[in-house]
Amino acid sequence: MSIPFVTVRNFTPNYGDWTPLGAITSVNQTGNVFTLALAGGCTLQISFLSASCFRVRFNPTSGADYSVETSSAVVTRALGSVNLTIIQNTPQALIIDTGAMQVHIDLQPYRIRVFRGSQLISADEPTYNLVYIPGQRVIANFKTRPDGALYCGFGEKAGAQLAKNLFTMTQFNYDNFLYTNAPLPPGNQAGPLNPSEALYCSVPFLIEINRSPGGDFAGPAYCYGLFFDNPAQSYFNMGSNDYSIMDGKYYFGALFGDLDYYFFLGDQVVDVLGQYTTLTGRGPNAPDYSGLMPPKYVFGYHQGGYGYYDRNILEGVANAYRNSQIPCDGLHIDVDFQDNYRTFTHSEIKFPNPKDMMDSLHAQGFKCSTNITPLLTSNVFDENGQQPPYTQMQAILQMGGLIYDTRAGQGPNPNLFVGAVSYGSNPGTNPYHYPPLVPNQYGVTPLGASGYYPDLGRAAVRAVWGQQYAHLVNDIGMDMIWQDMTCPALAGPPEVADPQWGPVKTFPLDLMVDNGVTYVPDAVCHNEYVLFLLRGTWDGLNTLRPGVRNFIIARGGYAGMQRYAALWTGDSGSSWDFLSINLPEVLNLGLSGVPITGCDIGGFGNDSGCVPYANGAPGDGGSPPYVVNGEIQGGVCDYELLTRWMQLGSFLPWYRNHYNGYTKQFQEPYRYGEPVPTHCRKYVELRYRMLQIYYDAMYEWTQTGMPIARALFLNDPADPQVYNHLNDQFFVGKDILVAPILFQAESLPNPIQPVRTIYLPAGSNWYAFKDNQAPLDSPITGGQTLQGVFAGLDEVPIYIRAGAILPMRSMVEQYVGQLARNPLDIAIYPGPDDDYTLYQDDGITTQAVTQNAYRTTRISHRAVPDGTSVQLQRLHNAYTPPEPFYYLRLLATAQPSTVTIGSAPVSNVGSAAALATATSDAYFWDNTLQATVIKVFDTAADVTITALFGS
Amino acid sequence: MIERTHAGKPALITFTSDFHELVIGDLRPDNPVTLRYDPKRIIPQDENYLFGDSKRPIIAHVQFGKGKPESSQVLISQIGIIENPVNDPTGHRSVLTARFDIPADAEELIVWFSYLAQSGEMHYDSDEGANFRFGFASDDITVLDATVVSDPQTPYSGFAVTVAANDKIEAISVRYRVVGDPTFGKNEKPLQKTGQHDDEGRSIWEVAGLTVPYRATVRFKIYYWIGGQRYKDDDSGHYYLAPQPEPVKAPPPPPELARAAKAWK
Repeated sequence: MSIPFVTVRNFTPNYGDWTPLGAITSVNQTGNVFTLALAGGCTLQISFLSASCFRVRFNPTSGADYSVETSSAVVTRALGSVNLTIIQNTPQALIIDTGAMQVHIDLQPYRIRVFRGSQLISADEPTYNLVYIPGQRVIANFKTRPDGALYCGFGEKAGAQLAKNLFTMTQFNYDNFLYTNAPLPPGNQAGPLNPSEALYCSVPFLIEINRSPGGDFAGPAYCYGLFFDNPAQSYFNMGSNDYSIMDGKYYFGALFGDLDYYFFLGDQVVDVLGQYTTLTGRGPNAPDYSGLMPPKYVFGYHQGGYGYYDRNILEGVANAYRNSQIPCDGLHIDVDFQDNYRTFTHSEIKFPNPKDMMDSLHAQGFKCSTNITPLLTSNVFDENGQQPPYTQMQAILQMGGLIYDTRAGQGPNPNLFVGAVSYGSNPGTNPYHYPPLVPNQYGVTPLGASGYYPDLGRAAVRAVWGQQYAHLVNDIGMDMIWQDMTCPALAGPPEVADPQWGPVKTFPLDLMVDNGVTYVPDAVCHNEYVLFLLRGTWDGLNTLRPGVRNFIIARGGYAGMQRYAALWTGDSGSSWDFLSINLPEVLNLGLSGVPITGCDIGGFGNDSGCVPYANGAPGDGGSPPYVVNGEIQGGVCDYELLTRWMQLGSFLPWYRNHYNGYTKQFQEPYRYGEPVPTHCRKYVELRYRMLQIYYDAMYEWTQTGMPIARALFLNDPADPQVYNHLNDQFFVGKDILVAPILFQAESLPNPIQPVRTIYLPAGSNWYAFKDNQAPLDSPITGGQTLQGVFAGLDEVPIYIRAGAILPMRSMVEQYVGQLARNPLDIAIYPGPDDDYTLYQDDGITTQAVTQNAYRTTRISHRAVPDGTSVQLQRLHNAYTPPEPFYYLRLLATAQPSTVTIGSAPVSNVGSAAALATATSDAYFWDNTLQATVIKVFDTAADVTITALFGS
Repeated sequence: MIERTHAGKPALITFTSDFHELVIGDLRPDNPVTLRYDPKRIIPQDENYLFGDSKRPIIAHVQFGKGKPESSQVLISQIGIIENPVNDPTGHRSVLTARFDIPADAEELIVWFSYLAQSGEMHYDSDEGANFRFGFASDDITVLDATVVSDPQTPYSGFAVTVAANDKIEAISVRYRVVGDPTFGKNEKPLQKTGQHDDEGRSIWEVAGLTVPYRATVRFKIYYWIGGQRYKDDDSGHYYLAPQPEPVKAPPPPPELARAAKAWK
């Protein structure tokens, strides 16, 4: 039975044989669950999880059993107390009041509407809403799309726009190299600008934001979230008239599985995110350490390279970073590390004595990952051409944990399913052997492997899978795991999944796999294979290395992946288009519950932003690499593009430069000529001095679901203008507004000025960020658009909200923890009273969870007559940071007349140098920067510092 | 008998940008074949070609035997229009495709491509006018055995191959390398008919005693000739190995898997 991949244009619930549910014949209530019966024997279930959340579940088969829960995404459905009041229960309608909303369920025919008070918030289309095709498995739901509503979230989606209004999208995990390799409808333009591309990570979750509702929805601003928990290939058409008229409505649907969705009402987006991330996992109370704070080094800078194929190259990169004084924490080693592509192994030829190597890198401050794919090679040869046992594969084989080549509708097959993965090709730069592969007549060796796949929906298989990390983690000391090819990505064999579209590069969709409950075709649970993979890895790492925070960086995911892993957005290319989508893609992932995400800085593959090879051939990937003496010549990411990308990445949660060293000569910033290293170093260094801010924002996510990198409306929802500035400016945390340059300027054939507009949200004043290099300028009133802001190649426009509190580190470190002590330098910007939560722990162990060994401090400042008062109050006090003191930096002040800590006066030591050596509380006034800098010894659980400026 | 790596899988032929033609799956009559084609093979280098642009079609032409009728299709992009297609000599990335049904009476698959350049000149990709010719190796050839026999008294081993082949096959040779020993290079030797036949009545061919390093593992492919035309069988690009590795012994699949598969309608 062939099951096809279906493009967005061929999933057509607005056309053809689809039928709505129609009339409901009876309603049965059991507790907070309402079961609605249809005339044909089908039922639909509506259950309430809290006052602001309900769930709708419909399976188009008669007698569906809703007591069986198959979701791998959901960890708890206890979202809050539920006290329902039945307002009406008649044959015409069921109206339920939760206290926060009224859910109107029309029964003749079926339709759901949600009201907040008397205001309509969400409505199914009147009659044609929940639809299906009798006798098939397809399901969909149409809802009204009010004028002015914005739609965001959707997980990992291409496109340069944050709001995905009028686009049609599919959720299907796919190895989409350069976003140009997944099936598309005829005539579609492939590439990063097209949101219809199937990508690596699927989170079928949307947020509707309506800032000024009108018509039937008139009333105050609202938002809601809708999580369509279905791991089959699913679809969201947000008003695209691609095959039918979709004016004023949207739909979501899937090819298989239940129409199973959760509705979350919120006044603000963060209310919705809080509910969604509670449902799918967040914070230290989530099971199995999931939601734990990541290691602090995760927020440092990282470098990866496909083509760091031996120890000399890797150690050369490490040394070069230290010599160039560009801070770096992470080094990521691709499948080059393995013994002839045996997953979980290392190559003793290429990386001899890896424990010694890892110890050496650790001594330099580096932490390393290596690539683990779900493929377990069937190639009998190791790198020596010998045939020693592949113990890790054998362990899973012998417990019957590999996937059999059993297809839906067919009988048993004792053979294992064999797939293949492509690792591109070696153009002659890598001198090592990969038996039995040999170069072709041009000296090019196609790289890859065939093999088996673990059936990870089975808990027992996941457990054995997790054990296989022992060599890497315990013997070698590998710090992180890079989980790749997660879709899973297949290069063969040829599975003609669809006569029209040909092979689809993942499991055959009729391949029977375990979904955690039973065996189903992959098509039914395709998107959750990666979730099982990540869970197996996560549990394995935590078993093998308890007490240390483990970390997975994954290329792919499904809803709930945030419990186990961070995400990078797949194989990007070196192009300005990819740079332009990086920001909305990461922001939308944050709006989909995944806090740590980022793009491969500079682009993984070659694209239009690469310079030609040295032989003059285009370096954009359209020509074979030019190789001289075993080294690629050219094909690198253009210097301006790399610089701008390094700048943007500095402000996004996951900051990794990563590239294909088999097609590009280099991409490390230190390999470029000046001024690239200088410009890049500036923003990497800023990242390290801001690291505490990212760490605090991560902690906030664990408490609330609020993303680290935020679309403007998350912080300033009341300002209607922010909704017009969502694609190219954003916040880090609450108060740092970043407006990067995302377009080509000086390297154009006819250069242009790098100038842009910047909108500053209303309700606050704003200061241009000076990074303690100059006194603050006068504040700028919010609610206006700055025109013609120039940002040379060494600049990123940054604005700080008046009143902000920014805890920076005093000194640049080359890696997290390089300095035994690096005091905080807490900047207090002039402005309205404000507060800030500082989170501190040891950054690497699990003691913050197992022993509550952390400290949270509320920093608040308020105006007092003739001055400013700052309070630091420890809210949870079970960790002592190594620094005995910190600095408070009151910006834009006159020279203080007095400074007191508690009631004790503090002496003015007169200079920065004297302050640095002061052994007790002290301050000085920096005349140059017009700032009062106070050194406070961190001895009191609750301390108030007051500076007065009167005469 | 050595089972083929992708026995029973649909056939796929990839025409790569570095002018290789890679066959995987079961290419045989009465089955479909998908052609995957990298346009770099045929588009003039100075032409500004937009990948997937239906206004600039590349045509795949096929015949199912010399002198038989020709059929053709426009190659299409399943992955949309791409401004900067990826160069990937392995053919895993940006390719155009077409699918043909091979008739039951097909004798071979003959393929060539044409493209009308913007200059007005017609370009062909046809193996220098000979066209690309593919035999139906799944039907024509079965590798029955391949061994490396070692005598501890000598520093060398002997490589042997036995093949069953259709009677229309006129000649067979084996091309082989030694795994893990790039200094050995590649060699090619003919097989000879033994006069014996297998259960299906096919002739048995063999070659034995080919000198290889002691206890070497040999990687090989088969060439065979019909009507003077040479065809290749490289086991879908995996090549055959001698001695054969120990087969992977998986436990039997659980009964519930078979039940679930059968129940799926």
